[in-house]
This record gives sequence, structure tokens and C-alpha cells, in this order.
Amino acid sequence: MRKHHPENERIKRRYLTFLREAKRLSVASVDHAAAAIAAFETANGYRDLRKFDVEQALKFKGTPIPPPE
Amino acid sequence: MANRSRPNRRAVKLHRSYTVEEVSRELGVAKGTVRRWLKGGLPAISDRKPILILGGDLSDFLKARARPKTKCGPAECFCFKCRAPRPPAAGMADFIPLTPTGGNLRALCDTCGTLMHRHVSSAQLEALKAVLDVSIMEASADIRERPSPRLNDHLEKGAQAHA
Repeated sequence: MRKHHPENERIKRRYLTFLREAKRLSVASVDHAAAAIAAFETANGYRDLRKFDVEQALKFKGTPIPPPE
Repeated sequence: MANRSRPNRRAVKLHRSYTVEEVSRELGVAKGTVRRWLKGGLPAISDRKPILILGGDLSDFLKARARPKTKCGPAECFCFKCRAPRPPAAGMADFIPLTPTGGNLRALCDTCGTLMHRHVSSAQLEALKAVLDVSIMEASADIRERPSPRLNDHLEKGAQAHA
């Protein structure tokens, strides 16, 4: 089986349904969003999306993390 | 959904997850078929319902099941009954010219005697003549000079006015 986080799969599913049905995004746009989330998860080591914080996103983007104030 | 003998694995999206019903709809197979795949080793997230199948897993699974392509050798035709490339029976074949540059090679299967066809170019034909006993047939006559008339006269019937 491919690497995955079971809980994340359910969250992603709900989010992609939201994009398609509530935001009215096209199927192709939703596919791009799914691919982007998959890239983030791979970079993040399949950590739980509920424990998401800004630093993870900055690390993914390659932005240097600012020192704590 | 197109009626295919084998599910189209390219219809599966790698970054999506699917329920059994969604796989069934996407690939045009029965839900029971998908459940049979699950029993037969298709990985799924089954900690709670609905069971989720990852698109990547499904794609890999279908890829592993796919039969490899078989290519015909230089003097072979594909036999639809045997489902394999077969040499022509007794090394004999007919060539039916269709275009100025090529035509169809027609032969009987060496194993089951089924009629087999293969498109060959005139250039390939020269090489085939060295291996096979190729007899060149006459090209079919022009469509306008057909001796038997058309049997469907729907257009004539359609022209009749309703009272």
C-alpha cells in the first residue's frame, strides 16, 4: 500500500468535495488541489493535517522560518 | 460508460480516494467486482466505513493485472480465436491490395484454422515473400460498380409524407 495517513485521506476527501460542490471548482482544478495537497503531505512526512501549523507550510515553501519574537 | 472488456486504469486519479461505489462508477464495473478485487489483494483504508481505496493503489493494482502486449513477428498474424500471434497455415497467405502503398494480408491460423488479417505495406510484402507463399489477389471493384444493389432503402421510406 502507498504511504498515507488514514485520517488525512478522509479530511482531504471532504475538502475536495467542498471545493467541487460548494466552491463550484472544475474537476481539473480540484485535481490540481489534490495534487498540491499530496505534494505537501509527502514533504511533511504524512503528518496529521489536524496538527497543521504555519511553520510546516513555511518549510514546505522553502521560506526561512523567522525567529520567535 | 463505455463497454470495455477490461477496466481503463487511466481513468483512475492518483491523488484521489474512492469508495467501492465510486470505483464501480468510474471504471464501469460492478460493485461486486471491486469487492472481489479487495479480497484479492487491493489495499484499502478500512478502519471505518466507507472503505476508501487510494487512486494510486488502484492504478498499481490494475497495472499488475494487465496482460502484457503481444507483438506479432514479421511473418505472423494475430489470431482472434487463439488470442495470440500465429504463423499462417502451411506458410500460405493472400495479399489483398487496398491502397497504392499497402493492403491486407489474409491467412489461416496454423493452430485453429481461423481467418486472420494483417495490414502490410508494399515494402513489407517484398520481405514477406521470402518467408511466405504470398498470392496477390485482385483489388475489390469500385463501390459504384457493385453488382448487388443496396438492401436498405430507409431514405426512400423517410421521404413518404404522413397523411
